[in-house]
Amino acid sequence: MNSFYICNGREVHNLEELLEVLQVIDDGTFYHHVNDEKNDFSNWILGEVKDKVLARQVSKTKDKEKIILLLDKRVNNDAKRKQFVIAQIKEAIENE
Amino acid sequence: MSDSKIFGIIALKGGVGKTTIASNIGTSLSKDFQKKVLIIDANFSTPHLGLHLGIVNPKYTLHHVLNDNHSIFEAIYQHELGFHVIPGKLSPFKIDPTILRERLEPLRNIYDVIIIDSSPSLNEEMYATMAASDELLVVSSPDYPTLSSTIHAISVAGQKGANIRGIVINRAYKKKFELSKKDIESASGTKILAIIPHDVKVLSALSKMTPVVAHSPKQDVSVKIKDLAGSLVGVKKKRRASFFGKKKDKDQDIVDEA
Ligand SMILES: Nc1ncnc2c1ncn2[C@@H]1O[C@H](COP(=O)(O)OP(=O)(O)OP(=O)(O)O)[C@@H](O)[C@H]1O
Ligand SMILES: [Mg+2]
Repeated sequence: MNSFYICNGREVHNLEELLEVLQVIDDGTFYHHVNDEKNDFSNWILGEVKDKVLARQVSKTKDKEKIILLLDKRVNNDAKRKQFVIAQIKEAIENE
Repeated sequence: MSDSKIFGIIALKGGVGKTTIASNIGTSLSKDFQKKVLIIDANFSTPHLGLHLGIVNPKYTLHHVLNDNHSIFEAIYQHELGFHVIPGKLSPFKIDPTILRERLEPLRNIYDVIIIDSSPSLNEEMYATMAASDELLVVSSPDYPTLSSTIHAISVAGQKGANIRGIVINRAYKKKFELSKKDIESASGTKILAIIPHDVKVLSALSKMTPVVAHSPKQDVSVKIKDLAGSLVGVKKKRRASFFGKKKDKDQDIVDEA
């Protein structure tokens, strides 16, 4: 999965990091990526994270707070986190 | 009598309840299902089966059988609850675990069921149980570390060509934060045969060196173990009717009816 590069130079590796960045990013930087022309976050989520549902939800808004809420729900959703941990455990054991 | 069925009770983790499950399934098969049962302690480094069953300092043990050619029949003890036990030596000496399977051969036509309690260490001790068993029960609990050792144990058993009957979840607290039956089955690719609750009665039974299924037979934990024992020998779980008619058992889908 390719990283996302915020125009302020910060590299984002995953959704968790994107959520962190969006919580501190200034409006200028945010609107550089989300405007009438494009929604870079949505495109990256679709192309790299490959979460179609989240990408569509993010594409429908230009509101930073709304995107933060969407990401928060996705990242901190217990069930998904559980599946993620389980997948990592399996990978660790199977690759031994 | 036809051949015994040999069940190995394994886990790649200490303290998950292998000895508790082994001793209680054995007790239930003998007491509730009239089977001729032998329970064997193949946890060679920390053999505590005897301490669960009131056999503290036996003269001959499995260690003697696997070390200096004592006959296996010398190490068999009759338990007052009806089944037989081969305990281990509390201060173990060096033995050859690889001959376990061959030493059990003469017992095959004597018992209906032989249960082997095993070691949590991934070495010859556990391999001996894998090799000697017809089917393995993997004891687990609903948390990440135990799931991880369960997946690992199942993978090793697969590499060794052993048959896995299924997973027994022990010490479940019925909390939302615990891994669910579905989580564990899909992560391990293995069926859960029973979910045994955590119950302090198990500890009070241990203090009397008696299996909980004999000490507190009506307790939920004992009923669940009894259902599991029955399912291992093809006895269907009885529907428990209450005074008001049929009682709905929340865990109805949990016990293997095969
Ligand atoms: N369902 C339960 N509810 C409460 N306590 C339990 C339950 N199952 C096991 N225990 C307790 O947990 C402790 C460890 O159990 P047990 O000795 O059966 O584990 P084990 O897997 O055999 O350990 P080892 O790896 O050392 O052989 C014991 O004190 C036992 O009484
Ligand atoms: Mg034990």
